Amino acid sequence: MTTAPQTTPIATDLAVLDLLLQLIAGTYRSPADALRDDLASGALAEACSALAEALDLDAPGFQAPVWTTLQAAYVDLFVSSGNGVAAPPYVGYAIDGELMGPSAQLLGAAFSDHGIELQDAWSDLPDHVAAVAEGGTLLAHSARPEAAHALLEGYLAPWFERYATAIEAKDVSGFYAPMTKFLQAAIKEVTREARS
Amino acid sequence: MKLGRRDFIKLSCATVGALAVGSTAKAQLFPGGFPNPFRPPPGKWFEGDVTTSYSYCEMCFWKCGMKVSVEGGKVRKVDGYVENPKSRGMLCPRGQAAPATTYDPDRLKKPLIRVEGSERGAGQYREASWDEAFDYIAEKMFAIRDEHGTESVAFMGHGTGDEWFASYLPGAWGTPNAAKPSVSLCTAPRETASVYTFGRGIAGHEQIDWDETDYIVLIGHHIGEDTHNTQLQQFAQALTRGAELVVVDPRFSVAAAKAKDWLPIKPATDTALLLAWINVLIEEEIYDAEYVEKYTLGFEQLAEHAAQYTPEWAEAITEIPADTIRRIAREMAAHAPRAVLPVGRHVVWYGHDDSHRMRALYFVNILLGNYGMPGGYFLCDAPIVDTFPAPELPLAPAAGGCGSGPVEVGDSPFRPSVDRGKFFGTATSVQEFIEPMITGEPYPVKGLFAYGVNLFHSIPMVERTKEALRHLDLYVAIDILPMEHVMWADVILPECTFLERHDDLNLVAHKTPFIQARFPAVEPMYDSKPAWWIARELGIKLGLGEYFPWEDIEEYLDRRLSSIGSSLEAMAEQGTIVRRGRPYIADWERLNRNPFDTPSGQLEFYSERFAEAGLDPLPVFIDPMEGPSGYYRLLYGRSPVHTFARTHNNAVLMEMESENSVWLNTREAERLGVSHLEYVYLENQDGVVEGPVRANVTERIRQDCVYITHGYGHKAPLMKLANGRGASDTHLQTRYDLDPYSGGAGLRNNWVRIVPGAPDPQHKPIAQLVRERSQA
Repeated sequence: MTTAPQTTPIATDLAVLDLLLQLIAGTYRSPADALRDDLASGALAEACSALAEALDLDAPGFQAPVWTTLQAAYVDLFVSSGNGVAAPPYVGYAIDGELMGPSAQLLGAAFSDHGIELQDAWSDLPDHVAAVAEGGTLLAHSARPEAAHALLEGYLAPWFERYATAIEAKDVSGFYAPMTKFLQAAIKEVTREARS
Repeated sequence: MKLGRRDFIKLSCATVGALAVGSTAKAQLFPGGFPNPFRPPPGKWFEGDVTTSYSYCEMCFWKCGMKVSVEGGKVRKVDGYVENPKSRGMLCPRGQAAPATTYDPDRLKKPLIRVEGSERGAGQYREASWDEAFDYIAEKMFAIRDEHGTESVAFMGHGTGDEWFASYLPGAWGTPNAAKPSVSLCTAPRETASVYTFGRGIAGHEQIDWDETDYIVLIGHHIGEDTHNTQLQQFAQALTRGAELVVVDPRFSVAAAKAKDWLPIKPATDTALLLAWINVLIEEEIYDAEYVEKYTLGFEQLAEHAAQYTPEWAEAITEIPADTIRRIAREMAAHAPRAVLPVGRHVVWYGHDDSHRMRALYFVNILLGNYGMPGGYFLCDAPIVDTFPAPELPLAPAAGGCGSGPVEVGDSPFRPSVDRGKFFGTATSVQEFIEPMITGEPYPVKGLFAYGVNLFHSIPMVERTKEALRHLDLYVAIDILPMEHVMWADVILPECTFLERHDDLNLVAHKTPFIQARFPAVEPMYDSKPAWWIARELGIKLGLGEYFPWEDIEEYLDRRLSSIGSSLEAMAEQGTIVRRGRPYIADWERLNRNPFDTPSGQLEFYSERFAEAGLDPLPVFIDPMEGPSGYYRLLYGRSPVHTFARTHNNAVLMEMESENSVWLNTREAERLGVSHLEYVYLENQDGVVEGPVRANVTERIRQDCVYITHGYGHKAPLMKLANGRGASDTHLQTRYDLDPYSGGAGLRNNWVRIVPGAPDPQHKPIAQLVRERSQA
């Protein structure tokens, strides 16, 4: 069994890693009241600024979008689109080109291995990018930063590599494109620093 | 790299609710940490974790019994099983490809509501909870009811779940405007003709006694192309056994290639041929006189009527030599009663002529003495299983169905359906619901549910359908894939695939009647739900909860099965319960019972009911509609690896057949300068253009017609494999002719011209598209 991240030195600040994973989870979950509140209160922008500052990146320059526009953009980009979904939000699909394929199976087993379980109320696939990011925050908070980092590098980063360009090209909300660009840059920076 | 302000920031939106830390200790599969997906551990960590469950297939509507194997929480394999009479241990390619539909990444995933202010067809949606979606629908339905009445909501359904959406829920809500394309766009003429001839419907499993027959005459019946699993198995076995085959078809079909005689009939003249065969059988006194004497009514009228339809008369119409007509009739008689003219399924060809043709076909069989006899048509009834105890519905369902006869509508407090009075039959006619959505006549239809019906690939006059959708106050689509028409809906409700759900029991009228059950092999993916659940939850929102007194489908099924001394648990162990049938007249006579439920109790050549309604009581030939000069009659049929327009986003099946082609006679191709496999356009008599589509230049079709397989030509970018491949016959069907008996829409009344010089669309190989599909 090969588990490359096991031997990777973890130099990442746990709080930074946690915030990055939270932002991924919050951005790509189905837009609901919590996201609307975090947008309206400025909490999301503040969190982005904090992460940008920590990683020496430019914060994403998004304006709070019209809520219905954001909702429609989410469906168009990630759920069902008249023009074809730009970014199926499943990390295993990004890796394997197959739903519930080997990577998704492996991911589910690994979460289970770490005592992290799928909630009954969750109605989407277990390897939805938001769900995986949430799992990462649980790992981070369970003092398993090495596992959280491996999750980020092994499963989330490939999804961004696969779909970031398409999201940036097709987003009409003015939210998902800058957030995706920012989060992808943050992943690269966190990964780079972890390996340094 | 440090956060400047505080160590941990907590975002509300980051609580997704997908995962949580559990309380149970875990075995350490990955003791080193988190496995790298690009360097996975060797071997299958879930090896040995295999479960199987019973289901019946939904990839076409033959509904073969199948066993579903699940490994690691994913469906890996489906197989037929020998105890099931519909599969007999085998599945066709479509059945085998079922998992590819379940794991199709383009599937509908969550309830969606059209963004307020966006146009229908613009495809702008927001996610909604099921509760919100039901509230939205209920509010609109109540508004329509208050302004126009309950009848102004129409329902259309196709597939196993259509019983909920085209029968039960409309009956509970109170609208007679519920229809299935499997009736008026498929079987209606054969069912109307059958009921008024035999006193019995044909049923979903055409009751041909293949195992006993010695002589088969197929009329426009594309066995081998229109593939129904066991029908094809039994047909092939009959030929292997030595049964002789005659094929009547303008096209040298796959079946024709197995025939001893191919009769390339002029399109739209089949009734003339059948009438001539009736003439020969009677004039030469080679019909089964004893059978006719014992079991039929109206023979004298038929004999007098058929005297005019000589083979010479038919030759001038059909272009089949009179001598050939006589020879085949004599051969049929020589093999009777083990000679059979099987009834096809899709029989809405020319409209005005269709019920006449079906009646004439049945009459030839009766004259051969084969109805209810070995080697002819067997008799069958569906097993009886009690319904779940519930209050009687306010309105009896009248959608009919594939295999069900016309439904008699008695006294009702509701207005009759919008198609009432247009034709004799009483099953509703799906295409006749469209015009009232536009005109408001005879009364407005303002709401529409489409369950599993592809409105733009089944109902003719597609632009009229789109125009009708624009006039609605509510349009709800319930489906699995984002077909073109789905993305016009106000509310989209995602149904799970058949591998993920229970459905109602399938009660099959068969030589050995049987009951088969469907069990979910895996949990529904995404936020998709089964039809029974959607109908029940919506029914409750509409205040119709009393009609859905069961808590869940398990209770519903178990209660039904208890009426036959079985249970859901028992069905989980066996999948199918097979009964003994009474396939032959002798089986009924031993019980002193009459199988013919006609007014006379006899097989009726002459129909008093038709006469009373001002219709021809005996079948006649009516000159077909003609087309413009320089155009070819557009014929269409099925692909053995696709079902309707449903399977064209299935990677496995598209790999087998990814686009259709237009069959064009060699001499016509030469005249037009079209070469084999060249891309052309098809333009119909009303200027509608389809394609590019490849030309299949062949001697295997007459010069006066062309042929394409149905279901291609999708115009849905979100169906990434299906989009833009081939030509759609439905889009070219801008006119149809209504059968005055059954309400069927004759679809072969359209003509096309060939427009050479279409560009090669440079379609990518399906395997490449599959790879690219995950790469945005």
